[in-house]
Amino acid sequence: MKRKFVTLLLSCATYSVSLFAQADLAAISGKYFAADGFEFENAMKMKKKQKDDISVTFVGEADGKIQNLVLVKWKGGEFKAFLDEKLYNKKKVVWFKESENTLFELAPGVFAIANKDGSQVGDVLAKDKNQLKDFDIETAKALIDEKTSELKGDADNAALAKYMKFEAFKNNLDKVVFGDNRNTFYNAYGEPAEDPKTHIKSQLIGKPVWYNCYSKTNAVAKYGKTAEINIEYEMEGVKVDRKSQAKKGRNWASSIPKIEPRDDYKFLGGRPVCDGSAKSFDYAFLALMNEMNGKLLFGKSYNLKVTVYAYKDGANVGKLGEGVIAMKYEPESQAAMDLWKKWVDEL
Amino acid sequence: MKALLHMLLAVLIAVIAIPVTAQNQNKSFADFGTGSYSTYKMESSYDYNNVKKYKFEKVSKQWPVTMQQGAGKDFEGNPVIETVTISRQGVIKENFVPDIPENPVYFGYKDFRITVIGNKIYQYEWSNDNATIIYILSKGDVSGYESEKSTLENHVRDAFKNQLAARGKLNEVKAANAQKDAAENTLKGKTVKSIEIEMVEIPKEMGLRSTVKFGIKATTADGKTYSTPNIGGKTPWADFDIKTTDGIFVEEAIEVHEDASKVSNDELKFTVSSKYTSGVSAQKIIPLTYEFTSYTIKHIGRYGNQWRREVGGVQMASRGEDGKSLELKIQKGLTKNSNLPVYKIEVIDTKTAKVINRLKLSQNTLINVRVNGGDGDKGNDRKDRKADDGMDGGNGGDVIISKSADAGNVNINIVSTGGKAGKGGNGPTAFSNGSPGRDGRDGKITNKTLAGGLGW
Repeated sequence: MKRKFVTLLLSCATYSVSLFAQADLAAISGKYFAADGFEFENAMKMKKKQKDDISVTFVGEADGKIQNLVLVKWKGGEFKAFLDEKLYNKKKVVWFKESENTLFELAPGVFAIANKDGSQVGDVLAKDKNQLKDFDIETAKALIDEKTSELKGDADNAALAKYMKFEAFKNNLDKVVFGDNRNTFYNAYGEPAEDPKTHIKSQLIGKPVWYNCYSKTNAVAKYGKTAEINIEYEMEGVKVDRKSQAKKGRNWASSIPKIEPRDDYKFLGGRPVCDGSAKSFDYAFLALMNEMNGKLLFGKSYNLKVTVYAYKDGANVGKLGEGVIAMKYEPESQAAMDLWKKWVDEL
Repeated sequence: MKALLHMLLAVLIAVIAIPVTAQNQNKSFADFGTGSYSTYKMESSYDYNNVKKYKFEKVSKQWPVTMQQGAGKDFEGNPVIETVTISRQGVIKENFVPDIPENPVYFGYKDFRITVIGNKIYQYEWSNDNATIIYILSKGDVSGYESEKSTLENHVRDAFKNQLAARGKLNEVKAANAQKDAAENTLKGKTVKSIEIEMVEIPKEMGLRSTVKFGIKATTADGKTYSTPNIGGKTPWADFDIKTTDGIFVEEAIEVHEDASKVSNDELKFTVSSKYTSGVSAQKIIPLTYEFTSYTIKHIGRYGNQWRREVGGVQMASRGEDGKSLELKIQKGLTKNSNLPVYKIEVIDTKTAKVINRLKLSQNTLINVRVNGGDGDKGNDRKDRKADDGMDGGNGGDVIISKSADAGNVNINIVSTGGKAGKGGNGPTAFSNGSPGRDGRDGKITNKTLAGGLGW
């Protein structure tokens, strides 16, 4: 009984500590200077900017309730924003959020007024005016970027760790895997949750082939948002890749649009190599098959190697995955080959 | 005088035509040196004509720049710079790394890039062959925004052209290393003493189209072991002959045929041998149980909207496709070596009388047959006249189940519903809308007794 009471007391104490941990945020309260200024209308109804005497008040508790919010007041109005308690308790990051206006603490006594995800900074507030020289808007943005990247890095690691729990992903790391219909990957709701049994290693030429690339590299995180995805198809030593093929003319360029990398370790719902019933084709693959038309023998299988690259500044900069599927060539394949040739010839 | 003017003009043209020489950035940064530099920030604003204007404004502090040299040399023999660190306002440090250390065009940090030209470090974003300058760290003054942007863009474009040669050289170096690696790890010229097959993945349900993954370990006469890349080695798969008649070998795996008549003994048997040493091989036999929870035979009709084609500038609506009519000939049987009870199933397209597939499935497997008709397409909307009628749904396929007398109750679930009718198009008024099409009819299911056995 006594032991239970002590445990209860201890847990109450722990709860109180976490409950009032935000008490040290009271130091935030005070008068601030703004780098750009908050807009207000003067007595002459003229729009002006208030650059000093902006009041920021931290409210930890009010009316017996935990609030953990800041109230920002200036001549033109006021807004309040609530502490992201999870972020503060886990990472000691002070970020007050409310709809589009958020306050991000850059340093003690210095805050950025940022949008919801921190991608834009509108102004900087500082208790000491001199600090505004160090913390201009670009620097504030860079500091938020650094912190959000760190948080995103944690989230990315967690996402990768989560994906590694799926057999289909774990056993095919840095590989391209194939399915015989869109739903193989599409129905997994953004996760590599398909049964690996549904992956295929061979298909008749002309029948649907879809694929996904399971990479341990997040192309956006590694190569930046300006990178693209390039896909290379290879059969019997003949290679065709999307980026080179798209440069062959206006019609090719519109048939092979740019693929932007996802901020992820795979494509969302898989990508088509060819699927007549879904009317989805990769024209780079069709260009390759056009090259192979007349060179294949009935009854034989030909390996199709699919390689997915990150592409930047006119060159492949990193391989994200590769895979091989055996394409069987039978008499019924010829109709598809001839149709593809017609389409390719029209471009 | 005229000749002198011509000469001056020629010199001027020649000077303009000389391309900006894109210097090696390892050397350029080393020459620029570490220290604190005046920094100019790009500011943008709109003029009275609402045109965006750019200018540079000097920031109050000098920004420190440091560099870390590595031990390696670039293609020109300069020490490689591994990192350039710029301390923004002295508040936040950003580490820029080279795009290609052996011949960098820029050093990058996230989507920001830095490049040195003369006595300036340009920090910029690069997109669609264009630069947006964000800061310039300079030992002197800076020019107008457009002038600096033009200098930077010309330099970077020129540098990328030069880098193509460097990339080629880099690929040559990589190819040479790969060749060296291949020579060390190939079995060519080595005497193989034994070969082992190491199974990587055998699915719980082994049957038609199941995939088994494996690696190969070869031991040579000198006692060294060589493995394929998927089990930690570097020996190429091409050094081995992999033979099987029961499936297809594709990259680290064998997929069992989907036609049961091609699988000789209800097992996956494959042999691995060295291409270069005769008489050394290993064999693996994996029995097939054909035990799946469920197996789906799917030949549904396409939806009308999947056929949509533009004819004379108008999208033509289509009716749903009929589901395929099938006959399933089902006979009881036993697997050849392990005597497991199975169903042998022949799937026939009744329209063409062609055999589509020959299956073997465990008697516990639920067999799903899906031959629904596709939905009809919606009629085209019209603004000037009565809209088009909706298209008919496709009919469900008819299914004949021909069972041998001893087959008993086969666990089979058939869905052969007709496709839904397409809605009528929208006309200019409620009275001129198109009529809906007709629903496709459901397929008929007929049970028969199989006369005679299956010939496989």
